[in-house]
Formats: sequence, structure tokens, C-alpha cells
Amino acid sequence: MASRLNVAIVTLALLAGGFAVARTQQNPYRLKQPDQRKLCLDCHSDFEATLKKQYVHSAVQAGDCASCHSPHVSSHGKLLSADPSRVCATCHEDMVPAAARSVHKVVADGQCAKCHDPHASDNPANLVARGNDLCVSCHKEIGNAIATAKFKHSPVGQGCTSCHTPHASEQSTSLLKTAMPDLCVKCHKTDGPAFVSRHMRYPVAKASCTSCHDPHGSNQPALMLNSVHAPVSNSTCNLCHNAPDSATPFATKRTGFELCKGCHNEMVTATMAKDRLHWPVADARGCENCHNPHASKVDKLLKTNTAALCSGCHADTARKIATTTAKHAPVQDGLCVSCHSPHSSNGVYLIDQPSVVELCGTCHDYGEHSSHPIGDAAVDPRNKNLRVDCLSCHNGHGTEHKWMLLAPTNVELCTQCHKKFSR
Amino acid sequence: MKTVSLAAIAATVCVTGLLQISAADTARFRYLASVYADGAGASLKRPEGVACDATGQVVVADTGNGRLVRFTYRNKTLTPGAETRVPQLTAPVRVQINSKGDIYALDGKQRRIVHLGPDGAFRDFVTFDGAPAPATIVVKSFAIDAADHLYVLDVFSARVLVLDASGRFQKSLALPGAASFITDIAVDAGGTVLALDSISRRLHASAKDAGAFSPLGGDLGDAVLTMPTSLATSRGLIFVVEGSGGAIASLGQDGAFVGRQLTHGWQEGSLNHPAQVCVTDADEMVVADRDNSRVQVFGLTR
Repeated sequence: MASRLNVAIVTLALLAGGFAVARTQQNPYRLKQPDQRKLCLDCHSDFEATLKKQYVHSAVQAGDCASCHSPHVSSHGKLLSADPSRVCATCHEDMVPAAARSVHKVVADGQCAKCHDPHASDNPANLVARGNDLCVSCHKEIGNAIATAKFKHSPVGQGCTSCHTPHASEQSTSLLKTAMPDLCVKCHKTDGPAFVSRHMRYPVAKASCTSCHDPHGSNQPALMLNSVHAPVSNSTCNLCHNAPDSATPFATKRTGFELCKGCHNEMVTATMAKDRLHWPVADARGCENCHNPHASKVDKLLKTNTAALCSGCHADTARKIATTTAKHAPVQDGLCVSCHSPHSSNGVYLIDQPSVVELCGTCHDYGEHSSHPIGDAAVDPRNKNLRVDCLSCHNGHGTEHKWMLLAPTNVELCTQCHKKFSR
Repeated sequence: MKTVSLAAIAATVCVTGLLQISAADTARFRYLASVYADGAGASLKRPEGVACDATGQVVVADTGNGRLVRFTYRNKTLTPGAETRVPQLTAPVRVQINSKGDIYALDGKQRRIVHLGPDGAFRDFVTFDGAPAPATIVVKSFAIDAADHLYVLDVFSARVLVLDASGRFQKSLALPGAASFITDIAVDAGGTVLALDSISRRLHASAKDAGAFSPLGGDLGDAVLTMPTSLATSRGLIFVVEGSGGAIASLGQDGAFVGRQLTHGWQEGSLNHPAQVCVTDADEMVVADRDNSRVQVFGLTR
């Protein structure tokens, strides 16, 4: 009898223990509400509507709020369990291939929430907007160009992802799914007689289509870029290139500025005759350092806008300008060529006036500005070889001081020359 | 007590050794003099070139006045001399002196090198007979080695043309393909040709008998904060001149950063858009301080 009782007690004890272990495993943190989703929604009731959306993040669907949020404390906003730029990568770690040739900046910066809603959305992949609307919300300039283009490229209407991959591309720059021209020739048959004839029999199937065409749309027929070099629009490619049936059809007949001089003789001769040359004009790439030879979105066939073009080489000046709080208006507007002549000049800094005073005088009336002596007769007291001019007190690009002055106060500025007033 | 003495000796030896290493790895500039005019008192105007030789001769390319000005440097004094004006040279921007005292000057407007005798008389233009095509040559800079070979930076064809002492073409060195824009070249005592990429802020070198350039050192970003514009070498050091920054960086022969000195300004001892520099045999650096319209001399302590 006693032994039977013992067996029963042991069995009951084991059952009770097992039940306790099972309960602990189901609710290891002894939460008041073991269903974590319900637990969070008890307070965050505004999420009920979010969860009714068509596409819900799987972690949210599973009620696993703690996969992204720390329930007690966090060093990051919104109680995120990791830095906002890293939290998605804790699960989605393979978004950028190791050999990627281009990566979407927001992906590289870990700004996933710019495109994806981390909880739920009515768009596939939890995107915050549908189709091209999402892309053009950032890429506004392209969006405007697409919207206003007279001639549309049909794949653009079908979606940016027709040609681009949104996260990263192993195949090409610009997040293209396939490198050009292979991407283009998937749709455009290059052996058709009309195509061959239109391209003057040059083997353009191996060339860069975007050197002439705008894949997003254009106001020019055949999606040509808005500014087209005359030999291209006149179909006289052989003015610059070898014959299409030669061994090297794309090779140019001459190199550097000598090629361009064939037509732009007067301009090139005038450029070379000035005292100071912008040296890239005369290097192996010559005019192509700044201009596209076929077509461009920018006027004068420039590769890009002036500010971006100049700062491509003069990065030090661009960096310095970026730190200034008082900028010269043309600098603010990126109009370097307001003061500098991009090809050559007779003055230092490639200014195209005989002196700094005359350059500034083209916009500013000095008589209304100040009566301080400047010009050839005003010897700089600091150095008898120098003359007082606008740059004696101002920096032509800008400074961190009002009126682009070289010193924070008038006293500090003026006493550099007027030493007797210095304390 | 003996142990303490030994430790002290060992520590002294270590510190002395470190100091010696440190001294070998430094290059300090000490301001010595500024010169504003030639011997007749005529002011300099935006000088861009300067060359020194072993005899104490210093030639300045007084660019804004379209002339050369001769100086002599002896006993730490730069004595102005006469000007040299020749109609074939109206915009001198770079100048070199060979071992015979002949003066070579690059005319920035014509982009050709003018050869003058030691007396300043025009001899001839440097031609490139025998150089490979193309015939168009755009000279951006040039250098002369100890054997009077002329090294010419031809930016039109992205190459350095090497001529012998009599001006005959010897060889052509292609500039590094990855370079953005080479603005200056120099030749060290061992015959290594150095090329300065101003945009990428990198140096490239081609040893005396090498046929190509290869990178020397790394990014000059730590040494040169703005666009580097000019290059010089002297006894195991490479000097990189920062145009708008008004500073000069010193590098070892391997391109390793040694130091960065001098600042932008108008006071004597400061620089405003320095251009070419040269170093005398007595270790004085002469700087064409372009936008201060003067020449400055600095003592160089290694």
C-alpha cells in the first residue's frame, strides 16, 4: 500500500514539474500576457489599423516586436534593438552582393525605411509608395523630366525596375540590371535596316547608347539628349570618326583639342593665344574633359552643371566654399564661369578682365560701395609690390564672415594695413 | 645602484636613438629673407618660376613682367642682379639651370622651352626631333637631371619626353593611365622621374632605367590639404608645393609623409599661391611666392 502511494506521489510530482517547465518554456519571461503581440497592442492600440494592411512585415505578423525593438531600454530611438542603419541587416543581411558595381545610396546608408515601411503597407514588399511614385519621391529631377518629356521611353512607364535594380547591381553602374549596351539591345534590334541606316552604319551595338540618347525620355525625337552636337544631328559622324567599315570605326581622326579645332578653329586659336591656359584644354582628353562630344542634357554639351563639373577637379575649393557662411552669389548659384573663363585668359585665376577691380566692377559699382582707395595707384601697405584691390579685404568665393570679409571684425581687418590703430 | 645606472644608460641610448631617427625624418623650414625687386629696384610681379644651381646662381621667372631676373646667393644673402629679357620669352613660368649654367625657361603662353646661355642670350628653342608622333607637343613643365638630360612633360600625349644634353630625343615615358592630371615633374639625384597628379593628389615614380611609372606612396591627402601644384627634390627629400594652401609638404624618397610647413598669408615667411621652388646646395629653399609678388628664402633643417 505504502509503495503504491509513493509511486502516485512521485508521478504527480513529475507531472507537476513537467507542467511547470512547459509553462516556463511558453512564457520564459513570465509576461502578464504571454501573447507578445497582444501584450504590445494593449498599449500601442493605434497599430491595429496598421496590421490590417495588405502586406505586413513577417516579424510583425508573428507578434515578434522584440525582433526589432528592445522592450525595456535602448540606446537608439523608438527603442530599436540596434542602430537604425543596422537593425534591418540583422535579418536581411545579404541585400548587397560582395561584388556589387553600384549600390543604392539609401541601401548603403542603411536607410531602408526610406522605401520600406517596417510594419505594414498596402504595397508589395512593404514599399511606402507604389511603382515609380516611390522612386521619383527622391529622384525629383528625373521624375519631372519623365513627366514633361515629349517623347517617352515605354519601359519607364512600366516601372523603373524595368532597367534598374533597387538595392545593388553586380552587373553595372547606375543600378542597371545589365550593363549597357546589352540592356538596350535586349529590346532594340540593332541589325534592322532602319537602325543601321539611322546610325550611319556605325556598329553602335557595342557603343554607349546614353552618350546620345536619354533613356528616361526626351523632348527630342529618337530620345536624343536635349543638346546635340551638330555633326550628330546632321549624321556626319565621319567628320570626327574613321569610316564605319574601317578596322577602328570609333577611333577619332585626331586627338585632343586638335580634333575640335577642325570646326571650332577660331575659338581654339583664340584660347591658345591667351597668356594662361586652363591646362586640361590641352591634355590628351582635351575638350572632352568638360564637354560630351555627342550630346548632353546640359547646354553647350557640358558633361554636367558647371558647379559639379568644376568641383570634380577643384575639390579643395569646393570643400572650402562648403564651409563658408557668407557666399558670393554666383558661387552660391554654382556659376563659376561668371568670374572665371573656362578655356583661357590673360589674368591669373583665369579671370577674363584685366584686373580684379575691373572684374568685380562688371557687377558691383565701387563708388557706391566704398571710398577706400583701390587700383593701380593704391600701394598695399603690407607689401609694396601689391596693389589694394577687392581681394585685399574680401574673398571672391566667400568666407565665414559677413560680406565675405577676410577677418571677423572690421578692426581685425583694417589694422592689418593701418597698423597705427592696432591695439 | 649599478642596476639603476645601467638602466639609465640604456634609456639614454634608446632616447638618443629615437632622436636620431626623428631627426632624419624631419624637414623644418626657417624663414631667412624676402626679395621684392631686381638689382635696379624694379619690382617683381607674380613670379612663378625659380631655379638654383651649385654656383649660387638663382634665376627667377618674373612672370608678370615677362622677364627673368638673376640673383646670386652667397653667405645667406640673396643679392639681386640684372634682368634678362628676350623677345622669344614673354611669359616665363618655369625655369631650370643645367650644369653648364645654361638657362632653360618654359614660356607659358607659347608652351615651348627657350634655351638661353649663361649670359642670358637666346640660344634656341628646345625641339623634339625624333620624338614619336604626334607632332603636337604641349609642354606643361620640365626638369633637368645631373647629366643635363631634359625631361619634358607633354600633357597633349600624356607622356614625358627625355632628351639628352644636346637636345636629341632619347625616350618617351607614358604617364600613368590612372592619373587624373599630371601638373609637374621632377628628377632626383638618382635619375628617378617623379610625376605629380594634382587632382588625385598622388605621386608616381619611374626609376632611372624603368620604362613606366608606378605609384609612389599613398594618397597625399594627409600631407597636402589643397591642390598640389609643384614638385622639387633635394638630397632624399621630395617637396610638394600646395598652391592655394600656401604650404609645402616634405616626403621621403619612398613617398612617405615627413612634414607640412608654412602657411597661407602675406606676412614675410608666409606664402600666397607659391609656384616653383628650388633648393640650393647649402640647403636653402627658394620659393617663387607668386601672389605676394616676391621671392622668399627658407633655411632647411633636416
